[in-house]
Amino acid sequence: MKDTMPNIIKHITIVGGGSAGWMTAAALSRMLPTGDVKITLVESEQIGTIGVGEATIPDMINFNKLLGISESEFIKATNGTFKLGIEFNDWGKLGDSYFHPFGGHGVDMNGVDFHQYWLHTLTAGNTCELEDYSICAVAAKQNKFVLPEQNPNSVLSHLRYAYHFDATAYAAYLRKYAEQRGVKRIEGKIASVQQHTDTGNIAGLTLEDGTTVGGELFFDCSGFRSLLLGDTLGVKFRDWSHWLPCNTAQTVATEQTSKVLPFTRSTAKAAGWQWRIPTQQRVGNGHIYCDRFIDHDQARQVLLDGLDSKPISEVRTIQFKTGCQEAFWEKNCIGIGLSAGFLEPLESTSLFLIQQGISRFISLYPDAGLHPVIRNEYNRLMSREFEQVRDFIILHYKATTRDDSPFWRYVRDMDIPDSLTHKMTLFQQGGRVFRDDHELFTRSSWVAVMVGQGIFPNTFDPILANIPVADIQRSLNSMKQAMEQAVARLPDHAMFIDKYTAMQPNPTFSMGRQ
Amino acid sequence: MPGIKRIVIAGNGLAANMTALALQQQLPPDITLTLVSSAKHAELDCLYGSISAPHLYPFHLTLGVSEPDLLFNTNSTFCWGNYFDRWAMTPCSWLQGFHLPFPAMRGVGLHHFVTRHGETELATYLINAQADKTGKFAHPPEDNRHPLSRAEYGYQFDASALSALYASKLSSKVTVINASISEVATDTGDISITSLQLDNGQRIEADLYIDCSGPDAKVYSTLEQNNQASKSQVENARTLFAIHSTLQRGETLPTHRHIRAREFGWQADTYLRDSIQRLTVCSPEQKSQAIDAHGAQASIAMAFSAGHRQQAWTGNCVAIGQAASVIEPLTPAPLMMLMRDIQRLLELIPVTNTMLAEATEYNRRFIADIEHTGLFQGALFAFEHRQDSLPEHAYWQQAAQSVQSEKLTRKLTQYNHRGMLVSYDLEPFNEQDWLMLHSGMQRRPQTYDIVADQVPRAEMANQLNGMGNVIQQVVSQMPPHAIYLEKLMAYLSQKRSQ
Repeated sequence: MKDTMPNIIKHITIVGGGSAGWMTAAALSRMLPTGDVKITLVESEQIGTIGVGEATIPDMINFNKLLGISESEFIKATNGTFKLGIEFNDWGKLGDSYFHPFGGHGVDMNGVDFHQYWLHTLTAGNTCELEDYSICAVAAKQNKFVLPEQNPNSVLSHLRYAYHFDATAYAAYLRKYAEQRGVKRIEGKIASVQQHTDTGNIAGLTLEDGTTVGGELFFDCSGFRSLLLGDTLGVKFRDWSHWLPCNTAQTVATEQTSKVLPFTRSTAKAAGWQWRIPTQQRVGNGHIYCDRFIDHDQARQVLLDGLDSKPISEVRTIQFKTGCQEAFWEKNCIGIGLSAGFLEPLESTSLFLIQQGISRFISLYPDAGLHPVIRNEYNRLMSREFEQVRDFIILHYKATTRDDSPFWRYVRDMDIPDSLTHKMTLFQQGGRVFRDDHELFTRSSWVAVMVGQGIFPNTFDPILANIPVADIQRSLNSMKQAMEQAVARLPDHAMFIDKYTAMQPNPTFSMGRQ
Repeated sequence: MPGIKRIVIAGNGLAANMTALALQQQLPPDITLTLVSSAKHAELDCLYGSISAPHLYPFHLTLGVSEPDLLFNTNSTFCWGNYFDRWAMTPCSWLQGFHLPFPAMRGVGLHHFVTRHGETELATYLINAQADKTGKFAHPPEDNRHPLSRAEYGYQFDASALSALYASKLSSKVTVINASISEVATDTGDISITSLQLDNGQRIEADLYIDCSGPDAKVYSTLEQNNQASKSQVENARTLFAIHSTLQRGETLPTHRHIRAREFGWQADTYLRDSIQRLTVCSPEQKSQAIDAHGAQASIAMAFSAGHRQQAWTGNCVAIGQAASVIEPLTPAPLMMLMRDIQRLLELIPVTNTMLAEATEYNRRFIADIEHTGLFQGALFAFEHRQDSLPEHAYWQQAAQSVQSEKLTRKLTQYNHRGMLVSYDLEPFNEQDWLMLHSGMQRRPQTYDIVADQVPRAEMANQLNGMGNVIQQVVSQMPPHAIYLEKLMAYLSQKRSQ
């Protein structure tokens, strides 16, 4: 048969290291036929990377699988821990606490969502929270962890998880992985970018030492600077700061506490929120806020006051603007990571958006003609991805009764996208969830946050009025009991990690060339 | 429990009976249900088509209708799908079947490998397409290691028999009143309906009115007439002509509904246990040719208007089935849409008397379903990838014009380019449906997903050959449809009498 790809791309150049750059390099080196495509990555040790997204969502597991990286080796190399969800404190109102678990709540019965059954039992005096029926939430609260069971009859088969890890260590690990697979790394700062005069495509880069780097296709992983996509190609930025006003983060690492928690903690503050992400040896902390409502010194004090152990690093300040590019792929350049857009890591989506940027590209892998049809579809899919994550994050700010600071009054009263208003109204009236089948965040996630932040349905699904509430309560009790029994037998999270990382990695997924 | 207490359903025929039965099965006993059934014969029911997709099986279970119920009480048969026979007078013939997700290697779907292998047709690797060639049928087994477990099936049915089955399942929970509606009373401003005046003198009041009375939507349209805001006129309507008749069945019992393209439109034969139902759809200009070619005495010959309302829930009234949209019965789309209408309603039974949040969500999904159904039916008239153009006659030329859509263009362009499947929110037709359509219409991607290159060519060829061989082997051991059905019925009757 004739070759179906006569005109293949021969040289891909990635600008910038860090998580975005090395994840891109690693995935391309794995997926592209060896020897056919030259991959170059240009980065400078003088330019720091921003370690965003030390917490992830379960999709990260697929990315490592795609690369053939063994999980235990990954956990060892990146100081990784496991994550079962996020604990949100003080969001709906001061003193509130809820858990947004991975996976679902309970089990849907007869085509009706579990949360409807739960709402029904509340009217008859059930005092259990929705999260008491989530295996992830129950395990997280007892500081336990185990990998999901394969047997679908086990409650542990409903367990879903992600990771916390050191993003800098991950980038280093992927650098080794990519270099072993032929990616060529060039050290240096970019002094200028050349464009083809006729097409406007990027023709090459000149580094400060005079070295020139060519390429047919460029990945812009240069971070907030957006060197190629923004500066050179002039792609405009869609500013979403009216919905998500936070624009600064201060971060600091602290000593590990006596327990390695299997979840991320997010605590709302007067003008933003603070994260707590446990890795094996230390805890990452950060305060994200809007500098229109608090000055940087006060914000620093908020961060330090909110720590639960001793700082072991300097406080770093990062400024950002929330939004994304109008085009993620323009001419022969694709932005991945912060150069494509930024959404605060409230739901740990930063690495996910990088991963989507890469896997969408691979599934649309172009030939050297770079047909606009491909670019067009890539941009549509990535815009949808950013907008959906955006709406889910806005929900956390909008669904609040907090009245204790100008910041909270602003976000509580701000206008939000119509689609989000509709979702919230629909839930408020009868607990219905707006359906959208391409959405990253599932029905359970929406329910967890809406219920957790005090959007409480006026009533439950009338279809359930048929079923005696005592019968429902019995099913719910047995679900809860099964979860508690299963969790009681689980190992402690830290113990699980020790044991897991001591194991020999599965040989079929080992590192190195295969 | 707050919310509505009284529901009235207006209309007779398939939509009314199916809706009444669904509400009877699912709503709590404190909501009263009344069905106002006029004596008028529901002749337009033949426009729901005579083929169902696999969704009807689970939907039936929620209605309390088992498969034996269906087989004993109606003349329904099984089917693997629609067979398009030289569609649009081109050489394209294929089974538009029902299938679970196709196998994948390294996360890359079958069709990319078929393209890479230099082959043109998916059908070699689809067990339903192969079984259909020789009219073989057996229930797909649960054991997912068995190749037949990947196939799914629907039914060939007669709409009036199905409607009668649903009516027979209505219990005393539904009060049936045989009368016609003489007047629909509304409040000032026509915001909502206050009561229905019946020709037997009765006046019926309800909290929610469900209009299943067919395209005229006598109840629902009252709220539209004076309500400029709803602007709910029938959109993009296209006038077509339908001819329907019942024929004697021969010996064989094909496992598909057979669709033949004609200059004037198309002709579909549905193979039931006791008869063949023939439906011809054409443009009104050519109805005399179509009647001549129909080849049987027509029981129904009438013009109809295919289109949809801009919204289907206004105030306290919901339009279901043909009252909301009439879809050309070319694929299982009309019945799918009816089921979706009912499901949408069940999920959104109002919990407040304003019903505004429910109506907004209902209309959002209704419009999305209409649009996405239209994409699939529209794709049947898109021949951008072939030399042969559509027949010059009115039916084909008008059909081609009515399918201009950015979403469809995107789907076709992405598929032609590299076999990419673009999908939108909650489409009624799934990826397999689209792949069979593309393959059947001989749409060939220029290239495939590069990840397919990770599988060595020899391994790929081996896998593909192996799949084809196993399918042939299984098909050779399957019984013909008629014999399978006969034995199944005998077994079920025996089980019943025990």
